[in-house]
Amino acid sequence: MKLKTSFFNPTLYRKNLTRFWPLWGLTSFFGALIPISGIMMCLNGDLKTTALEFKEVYYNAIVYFAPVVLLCYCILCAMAVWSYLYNARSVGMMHTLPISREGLFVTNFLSGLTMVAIPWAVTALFCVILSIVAKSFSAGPLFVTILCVAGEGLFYFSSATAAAFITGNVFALPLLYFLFHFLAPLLEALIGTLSSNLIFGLSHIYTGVADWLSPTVYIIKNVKINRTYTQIPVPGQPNITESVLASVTLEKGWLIAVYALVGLALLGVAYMLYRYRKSECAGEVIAMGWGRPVFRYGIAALLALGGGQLLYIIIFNSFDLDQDPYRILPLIFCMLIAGLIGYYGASMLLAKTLRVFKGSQRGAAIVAAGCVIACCVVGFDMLGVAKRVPSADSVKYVRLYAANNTYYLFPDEDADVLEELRDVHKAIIAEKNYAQKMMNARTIEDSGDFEKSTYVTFRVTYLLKNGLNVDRNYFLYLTKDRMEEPGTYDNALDRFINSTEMKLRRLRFDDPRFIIENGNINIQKRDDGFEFSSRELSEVLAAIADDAKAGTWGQYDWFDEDNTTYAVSMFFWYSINDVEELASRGMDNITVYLRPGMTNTINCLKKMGYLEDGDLVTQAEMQKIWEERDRMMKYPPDMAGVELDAATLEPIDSPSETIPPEAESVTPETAPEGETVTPQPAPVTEPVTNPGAANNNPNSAPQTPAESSAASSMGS
Amino acid sequence: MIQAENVVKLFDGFRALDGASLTVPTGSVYGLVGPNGAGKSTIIRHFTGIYRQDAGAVQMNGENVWENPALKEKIAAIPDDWFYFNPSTVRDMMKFYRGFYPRFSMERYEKLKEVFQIDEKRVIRRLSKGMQKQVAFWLTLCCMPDFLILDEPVDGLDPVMRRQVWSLVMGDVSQNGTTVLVSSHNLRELEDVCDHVGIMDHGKVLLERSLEQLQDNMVKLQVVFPEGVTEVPADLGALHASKTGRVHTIIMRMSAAEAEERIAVYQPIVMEALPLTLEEIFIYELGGVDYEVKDILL
Repeated sequence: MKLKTSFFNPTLYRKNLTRFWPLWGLTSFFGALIPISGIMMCLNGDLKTTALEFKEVYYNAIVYFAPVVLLCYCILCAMAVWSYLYNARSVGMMHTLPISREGLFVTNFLSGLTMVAIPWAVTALFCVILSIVAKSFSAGPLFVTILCVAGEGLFYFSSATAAAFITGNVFALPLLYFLFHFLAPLLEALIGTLSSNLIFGLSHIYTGVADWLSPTVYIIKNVKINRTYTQIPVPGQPNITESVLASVTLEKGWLIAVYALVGLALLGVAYMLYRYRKSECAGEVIAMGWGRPVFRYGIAALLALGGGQLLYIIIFNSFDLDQDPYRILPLIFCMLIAGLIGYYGASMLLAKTLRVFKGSQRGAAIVAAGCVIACCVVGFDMLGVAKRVPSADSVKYVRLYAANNTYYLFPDEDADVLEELRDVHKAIIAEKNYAQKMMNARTIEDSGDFEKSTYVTFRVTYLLKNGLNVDRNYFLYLTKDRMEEPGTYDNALDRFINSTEMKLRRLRFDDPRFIIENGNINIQKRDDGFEFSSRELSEVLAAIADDAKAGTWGQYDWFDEDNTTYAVSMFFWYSINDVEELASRGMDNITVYLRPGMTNTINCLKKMGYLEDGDLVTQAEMQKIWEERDRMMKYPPDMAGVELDAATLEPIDSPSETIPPEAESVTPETAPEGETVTPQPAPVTEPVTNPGAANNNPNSAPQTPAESSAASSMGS
Repeated sequence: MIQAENVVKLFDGFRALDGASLTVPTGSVYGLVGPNGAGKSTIIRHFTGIYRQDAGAVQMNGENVWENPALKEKIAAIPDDWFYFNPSTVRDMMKFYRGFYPRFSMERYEKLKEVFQIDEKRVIRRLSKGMQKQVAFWLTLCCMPDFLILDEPVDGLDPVMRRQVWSLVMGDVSQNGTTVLVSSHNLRELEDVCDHVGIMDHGKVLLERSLEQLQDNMVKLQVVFPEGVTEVPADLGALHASKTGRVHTIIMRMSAAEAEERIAVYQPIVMEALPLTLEEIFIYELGGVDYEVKDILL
C-alpha cells in the first residue's frame, strides 16, 4: 500500500477507531437511548409534539447538554488517541514509523474528532427518525444544531488536544484540561474571597468577568433560548385559554462560532507543541521545559490562595482578630504553608521523587516572597481600593441598597443627591477603623445597647462610563448617639436616607424607567388585604408622593422602635426598563407604612373604600389588641380563671402559613445580587383579589408588631 | 551508509551523547557495544527518528533521518522493548505495518510464518517474551528494509531461534545489501555476526573498526621470560598483564609482529601470540578509561 500523502495515514485512522470502539460505541448507545425512547412513545401514541418543541429541545441540547457532555467526552477521546505519547515504548514505535509528525498529528486528530462525532451523528439520526415518526420534522433547526454541536465539539477536542501535548502523563491530562477550563472562575473566586476579606468594603460578589475563559460556563450563561407563547382557546372550552409555544430562537449563537474559531487556533498551538515536543518526555507531568516552572509556581500560587485561606479558616477563624496586622500575619503564615506545600508537591511530581528539597531554597524563597507581597498589597490596601470613591462625572449611574430599599441615581438628573451619596461614602471610609472594629464585634450585645444601636447593610455600586463597576458593601454599626453627632457616618447616612429627595426617588413617582406593575394594601386590624387596580395604583402613589413632598411620610426608623405608624401597609411592585443594566434586575418593590399625618394618602384610600377610620390604629395599639386577642383565645370569658387542657384548644395558624408566595419572594428580588438580607415579612397576610373580601377566619393570627417592624421600610 | 557525526543529546542537562560519531558502511553488520548507560540505545533512537539530536548530524545515505518519512520507509527497527497494540494479533500488527511500509512483502510474511511457526491469530500479549521477539523479527524483516536497526535483538530467544534469526538477517545482508546496526551486550554473539564494531562509553564512540582491524590492533601473548625477569617489563607498554606460574599473559595494543619484536629484546624462553576475543578487546579497550571490568561482563 503506497502512501499517497504523508499528512494522513488511513491505516492509523482505522486502527484508532477499531482500538477505541468501546468508547464511541457505548457513548453512541447511550446517546441513542433518549430518541429511541421517544420513538417508542410516539409509536404508542404517548408522545405528541410539534416541530417548534423539537426545535426547543435541539436548542436546549446546544446550550446545556452539549457543552457539559462534550467537556467530559472530548477529554476521554483525547486520552485515547494521544495515549501513545505517554509511554516510552509506544511513542518509540509510533515515531519510528515512516510518517511525519504532521501526518501523525492530522491522522490522530481526525480519528479523535471522528470518535467525538459518531455518537452525535447516531443520536441525530435517531432524532430525525423520531421527528419523522412524530410528523414534526424540520430541517432548519436540525441543521443549526448540527453546526453548533460540531463547533462545540471542535473547540472541546482541540482544547483537549492542546492539553495533551503539554503533559507527558495520561493521568495529568484530564487534571490539566479541567484546570484550564475552570481556572478563570476559580481564580476569580479565590482572589475575590481574599480581597473582600482584607479590603474594607469590597464585596465578594462573583462577577464572572473572566467567564469567557471558561467556555462551558460562558456558553451556558450567555447563549440564550428565547421562547414566545400565544394564548389559544382550549378546544371545546371557548372561555379557557392555554399557552402555546409560538417561536423559539437562539440568542448569541454566534458565540459558539467564536469558540469554534478559538478551537482552530488551539489546534495550531497543539500542532506547534507537537512539532517541538520531545519523545523522551513520555511519562513527565509537564512535557515542555518552559512549562515546568509555570506548573511549579502556578500550583504554588493556587494552593497559597485556596489552601491558605482554607487553613486560615480552620486555624484562625475562631479568633476575633480585628486589627489589620493581626489578620494579615496569620494569613501570611497560612498562605506560606499552603504555597510551599504546593511548590514542593509540584516539584515532586515533576522530578518524580520526594527528594526535591536540596537546592530548592531559591524557589521556596520566591514563593514565600510572593505570599508576603500579595498579602501586604491586598491587606494594607496599597492600591487604594478601599478609599476609592468614583467622581460623579465618571459614573453612568449608581445603584444603592440602604435602609432595606434599592435606589437608582443618574448623574444627569440626580447630581446633588449623587454628591451627597459620595459624601456618605467618604464618611464611611473616613471611619474605616471604627466601622471595622464594630463590624467584627459581630453582635450588638458585644458592642453596645441593642435598643440604641443596630447593624445595617449599605451597598453602593457605581457603574462607570468605561464599563467597569465599583462595588462596595458595608455592614455598618449605627447608634442613636452618633446619629445626632455631625461628622459621623451614622449622621450622614441618616440625613441622606431621610431626605425628601431620596424618599421621592425611592417612590419612583413619574420615573419612566420604573413601571408600576401592581400593589396591595394590608390592614392588620381587620386582618385583611386588597389589591389595587392600575388606576388606583397611580392615585395612591400620587398621594404618597404629595405626603412625601409635604414632609409627612415620616422618617426611616433605623432602630425598629417606632410604634406610632398605623397598622396599615402598602406594597408596590415595579418592573424596570429603559436602562439595559437595570433591566437585568427585572423587578423591584417597595413597602410603605401608613402613618399619622399622611393625610393625602389616608384620604385617597378612604375615598377608594379600602380604609375606614377604625382601621387607623397604631402599631402600639395593635400590639394591645393582639395581646387581648391572645388572652381571649386562651381564656374565653365563660372559662375565665379555669386552666384549659392544651388538647382542647383550637390550633392557631402560624402567620408564616398565611404569607402569600409572592410576598415571600420579595427579599431575593429587592436584595442586591448575592447578598443576604434580613427577610421581610409579607405586607399582606392573604392574597386578595377584590376589595371587601374580608378574612372570616377568627383563628388566624395576625402579624406581630415585631414582624411588621422588621420590614423596616420607608415610613415605618 | 549510516552515519552519526558529533551527535550531542542532553536529558535535563545530562549529556547522554557527548559528540558521538560512528559510520556504518553500506552492507555491513555493525556491532555497537558498550557498558550500561554508554548511550547505545540513545544513539539508536536517533537513527530510528525517535529522538532529535541537540547538535551534530544523524544521516543515512547522506539524508537526515529526522522527520524524513521517505527515508524511514527504508528503515526498520526492533527496540529492546518492542511495542504492539493491545490486544492485537500478529495479523493485526502485520496489517498495521503493511499500512506504513510500502515495501512490506506478504510473500515473505507467508514464508516466515513457516520459520517462526506462531499462530498469526494469537493475541501477541499472550505470547511469551521470546515469541513476541520472534514476531518482531517476523514483521520487521517483512518490511524489506535497507537499514535494519536492532537494539538488544536476541534477548529472550532460545539458542536455536537466535541462530535462526541471525541466519535470516545475514541472508538479507548478503542478498539485499541490508545495512545492519546492532547493539548488544552479548559480545560472543556479535563476534560471530559483525564485521564492524564500535565501542561506546560515556556518550562517545571510543573506537570503531572492522573486526579484523580491531583484532590486528591488539594482541595477546603468552610469554615465559628467562631467569631474573619476574615481572613484565614496564617499557613494553602492556595494557594488561597477568601471571600463572612462570607464564605471563600480556595484552598489548599493537600488531602481533611488533609486540613479538619488542618482547624479543628480553630473550623469552617461550613466546606465543593468541587471537583476542571481542570480549577481551572490549574489556581491555574500556579498561583504559577506568572502566570496572567486573561490572560489564554478562
